[in-house]
Amino acid sequence: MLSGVIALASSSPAADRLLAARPTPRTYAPFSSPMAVATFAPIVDLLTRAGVVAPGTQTFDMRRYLELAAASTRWDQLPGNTTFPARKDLLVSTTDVCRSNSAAMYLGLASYVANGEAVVADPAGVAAVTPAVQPLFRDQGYSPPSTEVLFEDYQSAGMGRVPMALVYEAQYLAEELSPDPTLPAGARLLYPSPTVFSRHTLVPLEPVGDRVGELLTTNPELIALTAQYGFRPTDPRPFTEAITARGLPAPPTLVDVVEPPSYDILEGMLAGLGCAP
Amino acid sequence: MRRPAAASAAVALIAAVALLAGCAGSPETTDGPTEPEPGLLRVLAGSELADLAPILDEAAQATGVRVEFDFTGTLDGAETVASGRADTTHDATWFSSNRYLALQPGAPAQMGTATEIVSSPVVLGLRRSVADALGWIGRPVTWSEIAAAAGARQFSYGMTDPSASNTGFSTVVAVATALVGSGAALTVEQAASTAPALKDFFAAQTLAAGSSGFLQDAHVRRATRADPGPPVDGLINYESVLLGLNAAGTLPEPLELIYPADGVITAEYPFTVLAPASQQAWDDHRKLTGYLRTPAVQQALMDRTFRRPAVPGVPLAPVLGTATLVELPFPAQAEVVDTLLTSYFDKIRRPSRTIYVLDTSGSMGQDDRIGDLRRSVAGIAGADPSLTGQYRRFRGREEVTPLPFSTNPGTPQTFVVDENDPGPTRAQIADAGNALQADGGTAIYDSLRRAYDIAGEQIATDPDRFTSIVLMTDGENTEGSDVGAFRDYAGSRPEDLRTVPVFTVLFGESDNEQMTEVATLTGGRTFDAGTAPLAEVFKEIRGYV
Repeated sequence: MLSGVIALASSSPAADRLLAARPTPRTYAPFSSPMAVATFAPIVDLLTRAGVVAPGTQTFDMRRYLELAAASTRWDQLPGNTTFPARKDLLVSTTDVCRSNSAAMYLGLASYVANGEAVVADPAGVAAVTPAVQPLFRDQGYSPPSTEVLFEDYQSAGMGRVPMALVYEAQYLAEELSPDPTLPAGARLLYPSPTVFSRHTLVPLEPVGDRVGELLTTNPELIALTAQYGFRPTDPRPFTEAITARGLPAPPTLVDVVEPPSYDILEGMLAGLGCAP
Repeated sequence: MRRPAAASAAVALIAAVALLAGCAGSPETTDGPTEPEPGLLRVLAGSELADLAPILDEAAQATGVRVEFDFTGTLDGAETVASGRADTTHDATWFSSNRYLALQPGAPAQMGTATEIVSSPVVLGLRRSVADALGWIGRPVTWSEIAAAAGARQFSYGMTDPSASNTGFSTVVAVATALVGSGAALTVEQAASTAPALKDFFAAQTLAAGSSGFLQDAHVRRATRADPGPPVDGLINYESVLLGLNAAGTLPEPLELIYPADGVITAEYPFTVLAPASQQAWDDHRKLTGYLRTPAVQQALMDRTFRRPAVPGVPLAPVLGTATLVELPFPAQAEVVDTLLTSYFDKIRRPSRTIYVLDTSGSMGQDDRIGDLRRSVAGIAGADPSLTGQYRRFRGREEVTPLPFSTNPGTPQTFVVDENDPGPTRAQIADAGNALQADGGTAIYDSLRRAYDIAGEQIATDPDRFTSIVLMTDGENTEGSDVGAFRDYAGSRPEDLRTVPVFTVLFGESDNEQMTEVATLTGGRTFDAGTAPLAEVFKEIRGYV
């Protein structure tokens, strides 16, 4: 049973599920954050040479990446790689896909590309993409239970443990914007193309919950605060201001954005990956 | 809470000395379940955390939250948590890793918030002169090179049993992933591999142990010639333990740490509150882990225990190296891990030879002691269905010789467990155990001498095995030669028998002082069947042989 004033879902499929359990006339999506890849400068160079990153940009080409992953390419097989010759598959590290929203968002993204650039929408589509997306998770082996732990591993254990981490943009930006940032040396952020936005959706459970939703969406101070934590409010201006006020380059405008699959389809894909319902 | 640097160095030194003295080694248990109380976390943990005691004492002063450790092995701990048995007696777990635990059906539902406190990779520490001779100082070395040198017996090393301790377990995963893996997490087919490189690597292991503490102790005793066996060149353990040994300065020669360039498995020490624990326990857990993750405490953990900080922004101490440590993928499927361990035990590792010297004197007829003994033999012959029981059974290729005794040494019967179909041989050993009858006197030392003679004959025929003797008696010596005669013998054993330890079981009215002396003289240890069931003790010993 849901209880409390509001429920906050970290993505739209999760909100679908909440709404099914507790229908409500209005929901609020006061802020969102695109999925991003936290990595390191030497890795960006390698990825650029391998055609995954467009030279001089922060764009991480999902199609090219999935090609390399499908061929089980190892870091030490990249031509001329002397900076990170690890005998380990070139794979983006994610959280446990069965337990964590960020990995589920990444699954949505990868399945879109594997499905010939279309959101998977039916069981036949689920069956068709499962063989292509399964190795992205299975081959990583053990993965951490939460995005906080994954991001912390990236920050503290460095390139050898987590060369590329699938995180929320907000996690990385919040660190850059904090008074005392602790990003590792040579930290870089890339944006998958296409990418997917995790829309943090507020579902009011009590009338006063509507008031909270209203405030988060309209109150300028609260909006500025969410931007300080690296989230993108509906209005892009406070977000850009928060970043540039710290002398950081404004994050790119993301144009190639896809929608995550519906909750039922996502559950179907997770079941295909061996997650218990 | 900051203490002067000199005091902190002193604490580190005391902790290191305590470690060497074996305080961290033998698993301790609390006396029965403690009742829950505010400000007390009852923690099921790996024994290697014992060295955190001084820091946890400071933490208790700062936060009002104390920790009571209940030490257990990797697989035992996983089984306890997965079964839900930990709930009633514990509030949290703190193992070096949750990766194996998370694979057990039912375990994830038992685990609440897991907060990583520190980390330490499992690496090879090698005597500096040996590492130098191999040309391994100051350049990257791969697992393949290490396996090749091991196969050519260019060095020897000690390692814990992977069913008892996380360091041995991590080593098996790392070596298999690096040598037969493709760059991804191992598949079931790869986990079943018996590639020559794998056998090469494990062929150089000359010291085995069921606990990390015993392994360190035995290594130091061999190195300082306090033990009769020859020194062992290397030790596989946490980076933190190896650096601690070097800092303590008790080894005649420091260990060079070899970080394999193709990857390591790192322990990340997640302090995990159990999901069903009380709200108070959840709060206490949050308070304590919050304190342990403050930069000053993270710095202290690194300075005093050589573990790496989990929190970003605490720079690594120079002694922890600057090289990029590649982390190998850890298999996330229970089937892969089970296949790997089964293959390791039955087909890959150096096979064992074990002589069981079993008391069948008349006193064994009391209180169904003989029944206990029969069931204990049956347990390690395959009847024990527990997770640890699966990996502590007589293994493929193992040579097992029960030697019953009473007034005289009885007739030994030798079994060699079939590599591909171990079941039938195990059944025969269980039958032999079942046939034991209690009658007659107690000729402990004549029988022990007979066991060494048998070991000598068997070693002459087939030298390349871990050879050990297990001695179980429920009373004092009443017949034949005495402990003095054995003492003389132990000091004058031929070269090839000097590495054969006796693991003694304290049971019934056995003479604990003599049993301890026999174990110490031979480089073994005692196991107490007065505080644990005999079958559990028999199973625990399997981690050492």
